[in-house]
Amino acid sequence: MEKVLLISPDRCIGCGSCEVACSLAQEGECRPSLARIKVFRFELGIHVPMTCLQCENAPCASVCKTGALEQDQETGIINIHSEKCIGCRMCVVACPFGNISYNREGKSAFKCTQCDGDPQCALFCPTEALQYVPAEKDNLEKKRAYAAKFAAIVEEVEA
Amino acid sequence: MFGWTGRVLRVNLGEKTWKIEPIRSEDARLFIGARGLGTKYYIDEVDPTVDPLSPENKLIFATGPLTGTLTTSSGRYDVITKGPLTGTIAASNSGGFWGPELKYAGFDMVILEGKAKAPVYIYIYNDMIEIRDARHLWGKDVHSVTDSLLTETDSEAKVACIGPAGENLVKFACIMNEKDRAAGRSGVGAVMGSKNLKAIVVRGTKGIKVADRDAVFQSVAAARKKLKEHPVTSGGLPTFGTNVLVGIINSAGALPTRNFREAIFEGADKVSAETYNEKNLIKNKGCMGCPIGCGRVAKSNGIYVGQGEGPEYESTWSFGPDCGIDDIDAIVKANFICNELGMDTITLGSTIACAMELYEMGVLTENETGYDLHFGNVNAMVKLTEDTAYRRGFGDELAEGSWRLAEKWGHPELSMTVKKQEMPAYDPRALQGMGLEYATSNRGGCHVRGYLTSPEVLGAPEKIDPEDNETKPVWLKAFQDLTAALDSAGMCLFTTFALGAADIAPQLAAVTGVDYTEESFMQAGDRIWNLERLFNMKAGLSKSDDTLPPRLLKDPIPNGPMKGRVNRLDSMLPQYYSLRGWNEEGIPTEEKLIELGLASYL
Amino acid sequence: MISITINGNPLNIEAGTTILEAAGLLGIHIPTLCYHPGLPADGNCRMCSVEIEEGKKRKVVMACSYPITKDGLIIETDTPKIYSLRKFVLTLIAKEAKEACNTPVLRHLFEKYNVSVPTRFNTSPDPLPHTPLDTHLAPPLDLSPNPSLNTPIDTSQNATHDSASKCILCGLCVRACEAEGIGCLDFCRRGHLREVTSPFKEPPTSCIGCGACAEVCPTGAIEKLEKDGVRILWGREFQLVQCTRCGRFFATKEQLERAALNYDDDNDLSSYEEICPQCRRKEEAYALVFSKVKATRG
Repeated sequence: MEKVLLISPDRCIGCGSCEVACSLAQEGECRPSLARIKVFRFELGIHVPMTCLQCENAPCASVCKTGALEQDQETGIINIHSEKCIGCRMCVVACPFGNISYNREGKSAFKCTQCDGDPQCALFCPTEALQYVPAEKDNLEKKRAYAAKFAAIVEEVEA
Repeated sequence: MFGWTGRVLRVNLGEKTWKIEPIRSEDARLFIGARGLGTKYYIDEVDPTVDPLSPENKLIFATGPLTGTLTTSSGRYDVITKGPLTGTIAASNSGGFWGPELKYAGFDMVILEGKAKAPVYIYIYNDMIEIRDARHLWGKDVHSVTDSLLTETDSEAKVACIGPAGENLVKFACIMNEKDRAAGRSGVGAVMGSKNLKAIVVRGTKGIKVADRDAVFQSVAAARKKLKEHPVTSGGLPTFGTNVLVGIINSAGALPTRNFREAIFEGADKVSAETYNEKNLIKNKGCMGCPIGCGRVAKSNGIYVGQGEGPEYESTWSFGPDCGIDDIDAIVKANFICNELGMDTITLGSTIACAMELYEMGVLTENETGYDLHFGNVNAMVKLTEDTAYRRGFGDELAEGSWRLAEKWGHPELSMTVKKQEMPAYDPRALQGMGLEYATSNRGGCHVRGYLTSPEVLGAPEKIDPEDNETKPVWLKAFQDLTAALDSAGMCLFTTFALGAADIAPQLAAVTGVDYTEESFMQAGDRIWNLERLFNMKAGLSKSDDTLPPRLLKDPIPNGPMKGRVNRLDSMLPQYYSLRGWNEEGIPTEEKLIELGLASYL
Repeated sequence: MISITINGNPLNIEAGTTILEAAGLLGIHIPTLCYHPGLPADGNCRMCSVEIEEGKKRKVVMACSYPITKDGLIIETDTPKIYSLRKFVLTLIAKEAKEACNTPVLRHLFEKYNVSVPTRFNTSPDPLPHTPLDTHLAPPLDLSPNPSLNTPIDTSQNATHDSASKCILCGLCVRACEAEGIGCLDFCRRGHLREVTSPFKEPPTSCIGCGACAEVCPTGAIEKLEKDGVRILWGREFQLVQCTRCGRFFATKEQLERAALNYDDDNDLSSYEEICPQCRRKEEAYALVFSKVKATRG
């Protein structure tokens, strides 16, 4: 059963556990600057976690010339083969949402790949602002159209 | 190193120079970090008789090995110095994100020495350290300074700064980070102001290594589960914040009212958590890595309109029941003012309450105070709060704290302090254990050093009789030791509603790779407690300072469920001393010091 | 599937797998200098030399560019012959590539193959193109310093005075630029005059300033300098695009134009072009909460 990473900003308390869990799992150290997810802390206690939403026809994958970014046809997840990255940063420039970055130390682009099916951010989120939930077929179709992406998978917030 | 970054930044403000030193790893192992390790460095480098506001004093910002890691609620750091308010060792604890950011920049501690010739701020961006001119920021409040600094440095940086109160050497000025988190007590902000240091801005992009990643994931997940299952940490605190205690403590008959004259407050409902949630709360928020999320984003209404964060229970108490005030918006506003101008809410509210009592006695008149300063005067309370930060009018006298105020006017017994620091919101006549805590805390009147309210009222970890005095010394030593070790690790006290040493030591061991056990963790706490005690002894304190104001020892509570009680300190203190391994004068014995590895301090 | 043996270890692989890939499956390390998994193999550095046995014949082949087709192939990656071959290659580099000797990549190989570095170049090693954590000034991400600050030039990307003499002619930069679809670098001249350069040795007009060449270079021979919103690469100056939100410089105009080619009519990059990735992310986060429709950009 396919799953999506559901973001509910109204539940986010801005603790940043997701950033630390992500970096610890993916980079081996507690290092939010290399986390694949980022929490934005706005006024009035409004916090929003943001990460790659695995767009359909992802621009990052289509701009990559070495095959370092590869979209899995079944799951829709855009995976990274770090060893193939040549550091051109075209993917960073191409992502309209800024959800992919380049690590100068590791010499590879990096983005969320949902931790091989067990996203640590969702596991360590204390308020279920991040959840890894089964995708309804309808939701999934909407999810893949990245222009309408946010309306579909993010719950509405009464600001 | 794992957990610790292994590096200390030492800054000489007078010469505008700095250097990076390796951390003393043996000391780190024994004193853990933050409060413990900072105190160790401090006591080894500073003369205990130093004048806290002189350039010879030092100011240490210290994180723990857990700060900034995935472990539960570990966004904490301590500011260590000699407190201008108390003359004791001061280790003021704060949360938010400044501590983790310092770790990500690659430092465990920042040690500040000397005094800058003109106002400066320090900017740390990984290995790039700059001491910059802060004259354009001097005089400005915490919120606007933070915004300016984020523009001048980096939008993702974290700012710890003082407000006008620290600049004006208000004895209880505090240091604020992320605008609304406070290293609140004992006047650490005044020490920073005395050094002409306006702020420390830090931005870090490095990481913290852990020793055993799988063990970290496991022990953290287990601890989080416990926090999620406990009613206080998963229900009360996130929903109501610490204000939940207003109703609870009032029902227990332990809510000090009008400068500890009474112990129940007729207006408690008007300042309860429910009222606050309805009228003032916007949203909750959490510090780094915290599953609890007790932070309050709030607003105040009406003529006291404003927006900010807080208040906590003790702040609600000090501006509310302690002053006989039941106007929640005024209380919230006073709290906002303290955040913006950088002052300890507990000491300030309690000092105003003391002034109110002196006024009602006729010792102070409107000539001195500028207001008809009877209990319950809301307007006076709010105005004097702001005046105090600027030392304007009567605010100049309030800025010295209630002990110096009351002593000046011939009535030191009306200052509800221990070691010159104001006791917060728990009447020790009703809660015997809290009385013992206030009397023995190493930084004066303080509730968090050994929060016996937890078992005495809340029933966590188990319910004990608040009136019983036989087991209190045992309980208190355990709480004080656990808290000392916990503070030193960089973890938040509020986890201890649900977690004990058995849940914390494994997280510490998994991160640091040092084989901390429950026993060695608690022993580290004991060691740190004794170190603080030794400093105080050398600073000139003695057994006679381990006491309570006469009102709490002799005047029974006049009303409520705990009517007729006093605090029976004498029945607990001797047992406490002996349990601690101290002699009858409250001085650690040679045997005890050797046991703890502190023999060099004999 | 084909059965082969590498250093005595049996392995089954699909036909067409290169020796280098096959060795990798067994965890056997073969040194390379001109190989990058994301680029076509060239086999010019000769470091990945291995010996193979085809029936009775033994010969030396390049592991990176040899696709295995014969069942029963026997491969040896570390024979004495191979050792002396690699040592010889490294000795030639040591004499020819001057400053390259100081780079960690080569120093490591020199140590392993017992090649002595000519003494006049035996200075302390340069930091790797990505400097180690403890002394690293710039952050790991492409966050250029706040433009209003007096922060130092971002020289973490391989800049040195004499960097051209670090070139070991591996051609990774040429292949990277080709893979990118630009192809503005190539070898020219022959013998000891051979070098990698742009057409007519002039600042290349088709270059988009992405810097992939500098990233893949194993010895840091390519200078990518950035100061005050200008990126200098192969002698060409690129005015970096400045984010209209935060003021940071984040990409060249040419990079943005090229990225936009990947968009169709329904979705275009034009509204994001002048916003850096960090601000894009922040704005999307903001728009998420404060409006149900994506915020329009002015």
